[in-house]
Amino acid sequence: MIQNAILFFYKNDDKLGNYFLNCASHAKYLLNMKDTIKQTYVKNENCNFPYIDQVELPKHNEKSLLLIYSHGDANGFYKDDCTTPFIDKTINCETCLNGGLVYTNACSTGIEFGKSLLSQNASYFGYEQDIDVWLDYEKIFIECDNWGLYRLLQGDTLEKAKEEAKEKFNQKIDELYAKNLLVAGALENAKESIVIYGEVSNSFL
Amino acid sequence: MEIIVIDDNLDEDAPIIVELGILYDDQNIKLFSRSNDGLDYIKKNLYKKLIVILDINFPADEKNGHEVLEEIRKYDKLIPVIIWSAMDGSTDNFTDFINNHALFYVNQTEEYAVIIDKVKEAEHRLNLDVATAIENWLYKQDNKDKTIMISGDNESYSANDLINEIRMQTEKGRKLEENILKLTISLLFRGKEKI
Repeated sequence: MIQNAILFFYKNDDKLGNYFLNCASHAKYLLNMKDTIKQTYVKNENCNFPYIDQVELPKHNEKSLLLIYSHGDANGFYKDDCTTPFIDKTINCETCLNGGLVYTNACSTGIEFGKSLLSQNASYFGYEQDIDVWLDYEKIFIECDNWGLYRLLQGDTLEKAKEEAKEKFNQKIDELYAKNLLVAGALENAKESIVIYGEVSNSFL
Repeated sequence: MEIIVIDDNLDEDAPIIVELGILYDDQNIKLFSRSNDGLDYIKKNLYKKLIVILDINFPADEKNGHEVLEEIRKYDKLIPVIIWSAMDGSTDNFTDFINNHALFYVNQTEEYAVIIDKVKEAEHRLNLDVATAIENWLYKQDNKDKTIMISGDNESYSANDLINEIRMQTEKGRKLEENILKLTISLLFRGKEKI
């Protein structure tokens, strides 16, 4: 079982910073339900590749859960400038990634980054497409983004957590579609974008 | 829904105008003999469901049908435009009508029933159109300038922004439509809705 969590988020983004912060706060609340998991936070200006690669990750000498709430593309994770990734496919942490899990709500990171973790014996839960956030429905988007994490913390396998997350999306879609078709459409798109890689039959937490 | 007829050879008593008025109510038929006036009206009423019947030839100081359609498409890629003219393909270049997505061409020598059928078909397409449904929903939002959505690439959108994305059929606009189609299929497969 993983007993070490490293949580990355960037709140200084004037558009989605607050959303990422609230996602991270919600994740922290979920992690607190399991007091055996140590928590480390890497936030704001510390979200840069040299710090993470050379300072933060080497501190973690056990398989870890990396929770990342940020912008993303196929290859990695970004702050608001979306130019230089703070984590990408070249991330290398033999101890924290070996048997570890990356869980994220960052757009499209499932396309390449998620697959690349297989070479380090790590697993991935996230999205393979761009995801829209509707601001008046932020709580619903956060709950759906983190439902897979919640299920993992309940002991579900990665595969089961994915199915449960999709079910949560369906529940919210069914509540919303009659009055807000576009928000329900965005949730449907996010639901269909969830991908997992790695030890899908493992319980990690 | 309004039918915009832009033709300098018609008046209010023309049989086609009378027929359209019977079918769609007189107040929903807008006849413009000056193409520039018709274009101005369309620009100011993009929020309505519109179908345009457009002649090609106008006096030299007015935009011709080609120019009117090109101008409409700068603001809205979705309004159905039916070209209705006495000219045929041998005397005019129709390529730009195709490129600017004219819906139909009807020769004025045809029976009125033909143009009426084409208007009905355009109406049917509008009623089934996902983009139109999305546009109508966005128009009902109270504050259309308030940011309501942030996209994955960190762009913020108000209802007005999204309406524009839909009208101009941008990548974002098409993605919104795609999401609704995916949602519809999912709701049908999960038994939440029936056809």
